[in-house]
Amino acid sequence: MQGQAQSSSGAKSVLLWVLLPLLAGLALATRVPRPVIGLIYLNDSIYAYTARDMISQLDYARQHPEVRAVVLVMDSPGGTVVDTEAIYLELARLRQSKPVVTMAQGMIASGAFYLSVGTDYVVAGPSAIIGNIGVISQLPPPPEVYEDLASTGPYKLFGSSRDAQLRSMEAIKQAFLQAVQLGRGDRLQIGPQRLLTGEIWLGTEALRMGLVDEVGSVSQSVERAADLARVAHYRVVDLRQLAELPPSVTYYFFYETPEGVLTPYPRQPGLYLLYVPPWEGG
Amino acid sequence: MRRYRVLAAASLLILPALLRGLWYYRGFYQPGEPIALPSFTEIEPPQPPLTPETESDAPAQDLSGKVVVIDRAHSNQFQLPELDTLTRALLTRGATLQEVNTGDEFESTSFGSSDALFSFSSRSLQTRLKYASAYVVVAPQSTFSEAEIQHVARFVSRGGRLLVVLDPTRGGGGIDIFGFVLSGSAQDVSSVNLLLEPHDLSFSNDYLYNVLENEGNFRNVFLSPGEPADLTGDLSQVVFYAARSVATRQGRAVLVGDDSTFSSRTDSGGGLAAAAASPDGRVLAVGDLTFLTSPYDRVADNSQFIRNLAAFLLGGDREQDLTDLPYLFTRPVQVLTSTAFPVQSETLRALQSLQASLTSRGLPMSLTAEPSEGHDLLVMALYEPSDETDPYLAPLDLTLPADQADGLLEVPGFGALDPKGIGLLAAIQDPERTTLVMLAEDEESLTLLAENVGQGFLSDCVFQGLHGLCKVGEGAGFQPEESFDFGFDFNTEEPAIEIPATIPAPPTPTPPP
Repeated sequence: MQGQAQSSSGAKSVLLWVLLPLLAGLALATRVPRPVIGLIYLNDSIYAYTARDMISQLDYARQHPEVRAVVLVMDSPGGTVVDTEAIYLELARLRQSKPVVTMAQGMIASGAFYLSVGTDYVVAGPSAIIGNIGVISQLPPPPEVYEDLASTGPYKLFGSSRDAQLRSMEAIKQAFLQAVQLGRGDRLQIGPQRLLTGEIWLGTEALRMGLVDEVGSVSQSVERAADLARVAHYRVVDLRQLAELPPSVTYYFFYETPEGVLTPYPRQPGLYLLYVPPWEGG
Repeated sequence: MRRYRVLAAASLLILPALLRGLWYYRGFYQPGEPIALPSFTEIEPPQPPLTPETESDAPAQDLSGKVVVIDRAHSNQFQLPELDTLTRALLTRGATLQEVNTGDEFESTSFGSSDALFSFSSRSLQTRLKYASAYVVVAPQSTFSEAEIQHVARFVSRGGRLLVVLDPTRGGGGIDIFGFVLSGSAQDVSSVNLLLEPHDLSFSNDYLYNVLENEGNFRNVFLSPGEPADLTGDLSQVVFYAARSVATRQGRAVLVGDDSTFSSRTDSGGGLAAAAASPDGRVLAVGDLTFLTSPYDRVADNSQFIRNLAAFLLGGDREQDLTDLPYLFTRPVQVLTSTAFPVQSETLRALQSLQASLTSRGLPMSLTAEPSEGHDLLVMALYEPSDETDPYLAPLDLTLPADQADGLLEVPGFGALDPKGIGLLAAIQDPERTTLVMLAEDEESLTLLAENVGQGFLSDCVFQGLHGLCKVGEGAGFQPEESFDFGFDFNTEEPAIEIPATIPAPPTPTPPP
């Protein structure tokens, strides 16, 4: 009887001091999240809708601790100035707590390149198109007055003078140049004379110029992001799914001719960090 | 014992999470250096170095009477108001502006806001260059004909000034962007380089740029003054807004970019000229039009350079000779006839066309028996001695048929001629007066000669030095005693590129008492 009592006491003791703590510990361990490397895809130009989606995903990554690093997988000719800058500033906020890596899958030109210099590390495909630093814009028409269209100021209808718009472009370009110089730092192997020509380079050329850090693939960029975040056995997840974003909205960013041919030019006049390849159509 | 149990339980509580953590996490992410962002708030749009308009645009001298012809006959890609700063500077100096258009058989009508500045009439380039002081060509798209090139070359060789302004944004052709066709190709370059070739100047199919030091945009380049001093001596910096480069071998670079100003054609540079002058200083090639327009005309020393351009255009010493007929005169004209050639109705009809030409230049014409000061003179006489007209023939060194046994007319440079069917023209220029002498054998021939001169119909004339001979009817013609240079091809209206001898100013004939 005493033996039974001792045996029962021992079992209680094991249950109390071993199994329960272990079970509690296992339960507690499940609260330690498996790290996530979040992928944010940009396979479009940068404009209001794509910027909103990207910012939502960046915001999700910043607010969710399991997302330990982000990889921007981009194939984009750039886009509007304001949307590019908005994403760039959100990237800067995220990088205060998590590393961000760029994967230049096809093209990171102009505004997309602007975003890449705002990340910690840039991986590019060997023949990816990199660069095209600069601003483009269609200048407004010279101010005129009309009999039947009234306004309250000489530039109310036109926004600015042509000269003022040109000078605004120069200020935006200067900020772009600063972003490149600050972002790439000592890795940059070419000076403003070359950077500001607006050239595009292949990934391998860009590597020699210090515009990217490595020639590689998406998986390599993910591994690099994990290295920077110091995580292992991570999950790679499309942040659009995690953030539960609706399907991306198709927006007609580019101008379509009356014949239905899509051109590489924006539909609306404005300030753009955009690569516009030569086009013989129209 | 209990303490160990608590310790073990705590370990078991933590261990799974610890192991899981170590499985996934190998450390903590530590951002490197503080993330630096561009100083957005400190970057300001660059502002142009505007120069206050302090210097008066008053001309140093009155240059009234000088005519500047502006080319509009070669699909030129500009609007007349874009030249307002230059044309204003020319008008302030007393110049007259005219334009030459396509289809000179039609009378021009309205051409925009600057109409009041221009006098329009229908004359060809060749005709206008007969009396012009300067010829301005801006952004042409169609090519100059061989004849036009020869006219212009001859015009320049006789002291005329030629200004050619191109602009890479007005090059013709173009690319489609934002739904608009933007100009970009180089029809302008191919158009003017043949025109400029005789003057050792050529434009490049490029634009200049500077990504490091520029005036608000890479294509807005700062330029330093070069030579000659009368164009650049009072300049320290000029800004061009998209400019083609200009090359010359023996000429002078007027405005030059620095070492970081590159040509788009080679992406290299150093000493590239955006404006250059021909070796004789009579032709100026300027690679930008925009700097002439507001507000760019007020940047740096651009306004002074525009004034210098106006002075350049009016600074030539244009020589004139018989080939400029009927635009030889610069003052009101008086017509003096010999008594052997009384003015009749047919004569008046012949003189009417000459009067029309003079009127178009603001010069009245009148008949006189006593030439007075301040007038040019047209002397009409037959090949006969005449008290009224002989004093004006003396400097011409003619021997009239009446003074020769064989009845031939002897003209210096031409030899002895049968005067039948031949009219003679001679010009005598001195600072006070230009005298044109018309002689023929009979009244009918002289009337025909006057009519042809009035209409500028000189294709049946040959010129040599002071004299010209014109076919004014059927006759034996003339057989020159020695070979001589006609000055141009006798069989064509187009003058050859060779320059006829300059007419020296002979002594002013003494009027009859």
